[in-house]
Formats: sequence, C-alpha cells, structure tokens
Amino acid sequence: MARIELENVGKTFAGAVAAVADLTLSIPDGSFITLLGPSGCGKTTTLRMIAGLERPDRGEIRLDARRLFSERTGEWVPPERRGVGLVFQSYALWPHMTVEQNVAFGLEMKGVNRQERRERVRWVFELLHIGGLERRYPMQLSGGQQQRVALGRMLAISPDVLLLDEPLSNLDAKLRLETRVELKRLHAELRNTVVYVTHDQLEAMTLSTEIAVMNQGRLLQLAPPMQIYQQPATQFVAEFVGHPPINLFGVEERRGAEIARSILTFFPQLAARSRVVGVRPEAMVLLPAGTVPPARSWSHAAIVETVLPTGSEWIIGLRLGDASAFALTVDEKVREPRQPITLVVDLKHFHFFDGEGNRVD
Amino acid sequence: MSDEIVYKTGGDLRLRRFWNRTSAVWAQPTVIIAAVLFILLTYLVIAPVIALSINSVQVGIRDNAVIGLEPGVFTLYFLKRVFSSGVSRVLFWAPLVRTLFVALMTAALALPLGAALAWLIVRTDVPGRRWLSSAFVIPYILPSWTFAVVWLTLFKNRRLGGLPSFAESLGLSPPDWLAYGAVPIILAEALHLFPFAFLLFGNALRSLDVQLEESARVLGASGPVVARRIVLPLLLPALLAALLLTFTRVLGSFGTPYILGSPTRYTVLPTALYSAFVTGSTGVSAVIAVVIILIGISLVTFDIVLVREHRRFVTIGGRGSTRRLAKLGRARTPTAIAVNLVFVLTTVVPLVTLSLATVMKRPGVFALHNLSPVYWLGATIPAMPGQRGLLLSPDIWHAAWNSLRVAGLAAIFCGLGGLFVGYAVVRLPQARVSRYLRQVSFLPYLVPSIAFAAAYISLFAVPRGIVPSLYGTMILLGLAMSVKYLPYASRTGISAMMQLGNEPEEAAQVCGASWPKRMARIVIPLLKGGLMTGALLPFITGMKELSLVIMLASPGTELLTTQTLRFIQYGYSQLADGTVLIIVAIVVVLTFLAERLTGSNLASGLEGGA
Repeated sequence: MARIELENVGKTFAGAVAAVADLTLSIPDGSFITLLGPSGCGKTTTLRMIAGLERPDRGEIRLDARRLFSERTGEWVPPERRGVGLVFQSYALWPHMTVEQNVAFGLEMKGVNRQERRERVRWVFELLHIGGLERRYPMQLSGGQQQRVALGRMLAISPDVLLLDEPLSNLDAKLRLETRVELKRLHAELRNTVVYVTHDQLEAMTLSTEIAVMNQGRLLQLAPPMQIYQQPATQFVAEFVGHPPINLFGVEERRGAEIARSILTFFPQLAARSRVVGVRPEAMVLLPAGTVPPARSWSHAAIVETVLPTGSEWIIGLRLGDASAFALTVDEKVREPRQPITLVVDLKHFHFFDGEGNRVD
Repeated sequence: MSDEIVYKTGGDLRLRRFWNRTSAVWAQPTVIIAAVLFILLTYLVIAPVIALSINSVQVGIRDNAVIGLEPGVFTLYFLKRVFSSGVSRVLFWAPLVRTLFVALMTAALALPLGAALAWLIVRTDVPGRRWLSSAFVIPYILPSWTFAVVWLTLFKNRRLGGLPSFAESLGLSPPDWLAYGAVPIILAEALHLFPFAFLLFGNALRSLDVQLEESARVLGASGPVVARRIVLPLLLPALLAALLLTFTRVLGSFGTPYILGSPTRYTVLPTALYSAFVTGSTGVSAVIAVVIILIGISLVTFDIVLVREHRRFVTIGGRGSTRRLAKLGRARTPTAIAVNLVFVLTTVVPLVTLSLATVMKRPGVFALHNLSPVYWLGATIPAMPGQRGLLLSPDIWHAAWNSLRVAGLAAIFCGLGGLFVGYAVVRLPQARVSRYLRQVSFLPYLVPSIAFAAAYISLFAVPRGIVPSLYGTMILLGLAMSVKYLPYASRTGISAMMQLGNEPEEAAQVCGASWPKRMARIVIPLLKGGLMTGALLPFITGMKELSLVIMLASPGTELLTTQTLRFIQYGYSQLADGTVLIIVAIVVVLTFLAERLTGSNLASGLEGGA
C-alpha cells in the first residue's frame, strides 16, 4: 500500500515567487501519475518534496498513515527514512562504483545480507535486461544503459513509491519509445505507485493512469490522459496538450474574432460567458469548396496555405478570413496550396473558455 | 595555376601525382606554420634537454683543469661523482632526501589546510565566503619566496649579518632550527602552496553533482555515510592532483630553500644544482639537473596516468538544484574568526612586516623616532655602503626595466605562440605532426624551472653554428622564460581553437576571404580573450620568476627578483624587503587589471605559475 497525499503544500525559495503554491493532490496506491507542465511550473519541486529533498514551508505530506511532513505538528521525515525511490534526469550514477555496486548500495544501507543482496541484484539485472554489465563503470555505459541502471538502483530496494524526474529526456527518440514501453511493462508487473515528472506531453499521455497538469506552482487539472485531452479544464491545459496545438479563436482578438463569433452563434447558452473558442486540428474536416455542410456542424470557407506531410498524415495550414489555423488529416485529396476548400467542424468538438481561461460547458 | 605546374613536371603519372599531393599540402598556410613551429620548438625545447644530457657525460671547457681530461671527451666521471663518491652524500643524496622530506611535510601541511578551507567556503554558511575565496588565492599570487624573506626579517639570528631581525630587537634569540632550515622552509612552502589545494578541492566540491549525494540519501544513507562512501572517493583525484603538484612545485623551487637553507647549509636539489653551477662544476650541475627533470617527468606522468585512470570519476553536472549549505550554527562565529585568522597570517602579516621593515631604522623597534624613509628615499644609507634608497637606486630602476622587458617578451612570444600552436595543432590534417607539436609545446611544463635554466645554459653558453653564445644577454633570459611559459599559452590556444571549430573560418573562406584576411578578421578577433590570458599570465608570472632566471641573470641583466637575492646575499634585508614589496605591488595590480580586462578568474589559471 502506498497512497500519497499532499495537502495545501507550499514551497517558496528564498527571494523568489512560490515554486509550489497551495497544492492538494491525492495519489492512489498503484497509480502511475504524471506531473506535467512547462519548466519552472513546480513539478520537480513537488517531486523533491515527496522524496524529502526539499522541505515544504506549508501544508502536510502523508504516505499512507505516515506523516512525512506537517507544518502543524512540525513532523519531518528525512529522505533516507522515507523508503521511496527517485530516478534523476542526469541519472546521478556514482562514477566511482561499478554498476553492481551502484545497484547494491540501497540494499546495503538497509542492512540486507550479502546472499540476499546478490539475489536481489540479479533479479534487477534480469528485470531490466542489463545482465553482463555488472563489473562496468557508469562512464563505460551508453545513455540507455545508464538510464536502466539508474532505474535498477531504485527498484532494487522495492520502493512502494517510485519517483521519476524526467528520466527519458537524455535519450534519443528511438530509445525513448523503447523505454516508455519498458516503464509501462514494469509498472504493470510491479504495481508500485509511480510519480513521473515530465514536460513531454507524449510521455505523459502514453504512460500515465492520471495526469496532473501544473503551471506556476498550481495544479490545473488532475484526470486520466484522454479526459485531459478531450475535456481540458483550462485554456492552458488545452494549449499545452496536443500537437499540433489546439486552434484558438478569441472573441476579443484582433484576428479571428469573426470566426469565434460565427461559432458562438451555434451555442447561444454559452455565448455570454465564452471569450475563447478552441478546436483541435484533427476535428477540422476539409471538404471541396462549396460542399453543403451536414447538420449539427459549423462550416467556413478557407484556403489551403501550406501542406506539411508527416508520412502518416498531413498538417494543413489554413487561412480563414483574417485568421489562420492548422488541420490534421489523413485524407490525401485536399492538399494543394492556394486551393479553396470548405472547413467543417462537428459541433461536439468545440471547447469554450471564459475570460479567466476556465472551461465553459 | 597549379594545373600549369603539374603539366610542366612531365608525363610520368606517379611523379605528377606526387607533385600534385605535395604542392597541395604546401600550399596550405597551416602546413607552413606547422613546419616553422616544428623546427622552432624542436630547437627551443628538445635541443636544450639533449645538450644538457650530453653535458652530464662530457668534459666541459671549465672542467678539464679539475679532472685532467680534454674538453669534449665523454666520461662517466660526473655520474660517479654525484652518485657514488666520497662527496656524493653532500652533493646529491642528502639534498635528495631533504627535498622529498620537505615536499612530504609541505603537502602534509598545505593539503589539509586547503581542503578544510575549501569545504568551509563551498559547503558551509561561514560569513564572507565570496571575499574569502579570492583572498585565499593571494598567497599564491605573491612570489613563492615572499614568506622566506618575511621569515628572515622576523626571525633571523646572529648567524647572518646586517641589521637584527624583529625577534632579536625584542630581545629574543631564535635558535638556528627555528630561524633557518627545514622548519621555516616547510612553513613558507606550505603557506605559498595551500591555495593550490584550496582551489583544486574547491572546484572539485563545486562540480560534484548534488544529485549523486541525493540519490544516496534517498536509498537510505545518512549524512556521514554519504560523506564517506560518495563524497570522499570522488574527491580522491583532486587530492592526488594537489599532492603531485605540491611535490613538483617543491622540486623546482629555488628561492625559499636558498634564502632559508643557505645559512645552515640545508641544501635541497635545486640549491645543490645552483651551488654546483656557481662553483663551476658544470658536469655535476648537469647531472643533478637531469635527475630533477627525470623526477619531474615521472611525477607528471604519474599524475597523467592517475587522471586517466580516474576518468570515470568525471561527473556530468546535473540540473542545477541548489545546494543547501551546511549550517554551522553556534560554531559560525568562531569558524569565521579562525578562517579570517588564516587570511591575516598568510597575507596581512607578511605584507605588513615587509612594509614596516622598510620604514624602520632599526627593525622591530616600535617608536616614532625609529621611523625613517631612508630605505626608500635616502641618498646614502647608514651601514649599507654604496646603496641608495630603493626609489633613487639606478640598480632598481634598471632591474625593473629588465624585468618588464623580459616578461614583456615572454608575454608577446606566448601570446603569438599560443595562437599559432593552437591553430596548427587543431587545423593540421597530419595527425602525427599535430600530436608532436602539442606534446613538445607542453614539454617545458614537465621540466622544473631551475633544471630548464640549466638546459638553456648547456645549449646557449657556447656558440653553436650560426648562433653566438647568448650567456649573459637579455635574449637568453627572454627566450628561456618564453619557452618555459609556452605550455599555458598553447593549452589556452588549443582549447580556444577547439571551441571555435572550423565553421567560422570556412564561412569566411566561402565568402572569398584570403588566409591573412581570415586570420585578421575572423580567427584572431574570436580568440582575443584566450590570447590575452595566454599573454598576461606569462607577464605576471615572469615579473616574480626567480628559479628560472637565477642562473641566467648576471651583472647588467639583473631582474627585480634576482636583485632581491643579491640584497639578501649582502645582508641588506631592508632593501630586499622593499624590492619584494615593489614586485608584489606590480604583480597584484597586474592581476586585478587582467581580471578586469579579460573578465576571467586568473587565479584559477595561475595553477601553472612559478
């Protein structure tokens, strides 16, 4: 059992704005939760507070029934007594120890005897497919191997909670995909609670059972990946997740206001509160110019400006009056620059946000 | 145009190809530069060492009266005399043992002191850390033998002539073991060299990725366990480097053991070499110089092997998570006092002593009527016949002018040398020649200063071919200094060129710029910072150089540093103190100006200085 609860946690570094402001977050046992956000959003600080490497100023952190930190009672458990695992972005392997010594270090600290230690280390090497590297030094390993050893070092102590701080950011694209698959397999096998920090939405979407989107030290939305994508709670979440990014049309913007108003005429009950209308690129259907749109959809004349083939699909740059937008399509038919077309969007695909950027339903 | 030339060489295809290839190679400016450097460096670096080695087994012009053999005859006489004869204990073995002893004891003092200070300043909240981290480098910027001069001023006893020391004026009579020999030599060397350990440990501590410690904490290691299992092993290379550098430095240091060792004949290898040289035993001095070079080279080779061995220790810095400084709590104030006391003892006390000594008629008598500007401005000085106040002394002005000229020559030579060596080493397609140039330009670093001077005397004391005898000329001084300091400049030049890469120059080439244009408009402006450091460092180091120049300087070519030594030899310690102050003032001002100018921390580059 490992359920992590953060209650009104706050942390301000000397002379700076709050790194984490009033964060309340409940991480259920066995879940794979990703803290997602731009750099400086407080996600790493949150992770380090769970690990005990930063001491919060406010609030309370609990691991199951155990209080790790409490502003009220003054309780504080130092990192070495928390029993969590933390994998760093730089891996932080000890360069003066062999791979085997690196992996065995945590067990040694726990006072595990030699025989058991050897078995446990062998288990880790098998689990991560890094057998044969035992006697090497970290500097003699490739990036991918270092990454596995860093993971193995933490898995060796069988932590109930595994914290991962951008563990894939130093790997190349191919290795990233492989390691994502690996992490998902490990989580399915070991069932421990994983807290994963990244700014890469693809990692977050593919790995997590739940994503916590953060910005400026605050939690914006906590939800399963598809819900984050399909029902973003704020304009920031909508913009941060998705590639190419969501198309936004502001009622008060200089460009695109006409588009926004034309969409809002279909939603009279939302029009008063909405300031921004969003539509994901893949929801934009491109039809030959002059096509009569189907019922319950919005349509607009547009001109194809750029065509960017990615191999499996096309990213189409469009001009809609004074505004521009991106569409994502697998349809080979419409892809001539300067070609006039009709843009059609099913009404259920629109997102609305108010003046504060919050979702309007 | 080259097509035409090829045509004229005739029909033989192989010849034509050969011509094609060689003419293409020689048309490159890089190749011409490399060829010139190849000849120049071989002559200035390799030839002197070979000449020295030959001198150690060949009868010299001055030797034949002593050993009765014709000059030029090869002999094992000098080797025998140094290693196994009735005098070899005095000549060689005792100095060798003393050298090793002094080096070990110096390391035993300097390393813990430097390491402790580094830890306090990098890892704790002791007040004034920023200021102290520059303050502790000052003892290293001072000439290495400053502390020796100060020591004599404070503690010399009746054994030496001249005015009494401070201690004697206060009615104390320091025993010989305290005034001269091992104890003060070790102290003076340690005070000069502890900044080394301080810088090395400080940098190692700073570059240590915090996450290495944090991951150990997360895995259940307590603070002391982290220190023992993670931090200490990772600092080991820095410790070894500091140890070896201390050894190398003591091995090449002449000033301190000469000033403090001569009164009780406490001879170490550099002073043994010097006395063999001044007594005319050229062969013996050559043998000792070769031994010093061999020890020096093996120490540095050992260091290089160790560094390679510990390559795995090199850590990639993690994302900058701020390091929490250890809170000293109640110990904060006492620690601050102790740390500042070190600064006072290593910098303030020596400089104040020197200053006071030069304005007191009788040293150590603290009374207003005892103050006098005579040592600075007197037309004559009582008890020092023929001497004038330092600022009126033509000798001092002449020596200062010489120092400036020699150091200036070295600066220009090193600045240009660094540029050309860097350019040739990085750009030359011929890897073997490039490696040779890099290694030869680094070689002077391995040769301790005084032995380097001996090698230069071997090559240049007699006319060889078209080169006349240079002994006793300013050219020899300038040349020796230039080549001795070249390693720092060429290292700077090579790394600057590496960073620069090919693209900026190639871009200019594509735009139609000729080679001189590319150098003038692209390469030199881009390397300016590195070249400045490469030139300023030799200048500053040259102003305080003693070990390298003591055997090369002669009446007429005295430098400020050798002039100081002459004053000490005459027993005019006030004049010596004043001259040291002049050198210190020049060096300190230059260092701070240079730091302003280049925006870099010269102190960290001073590692190689004399």
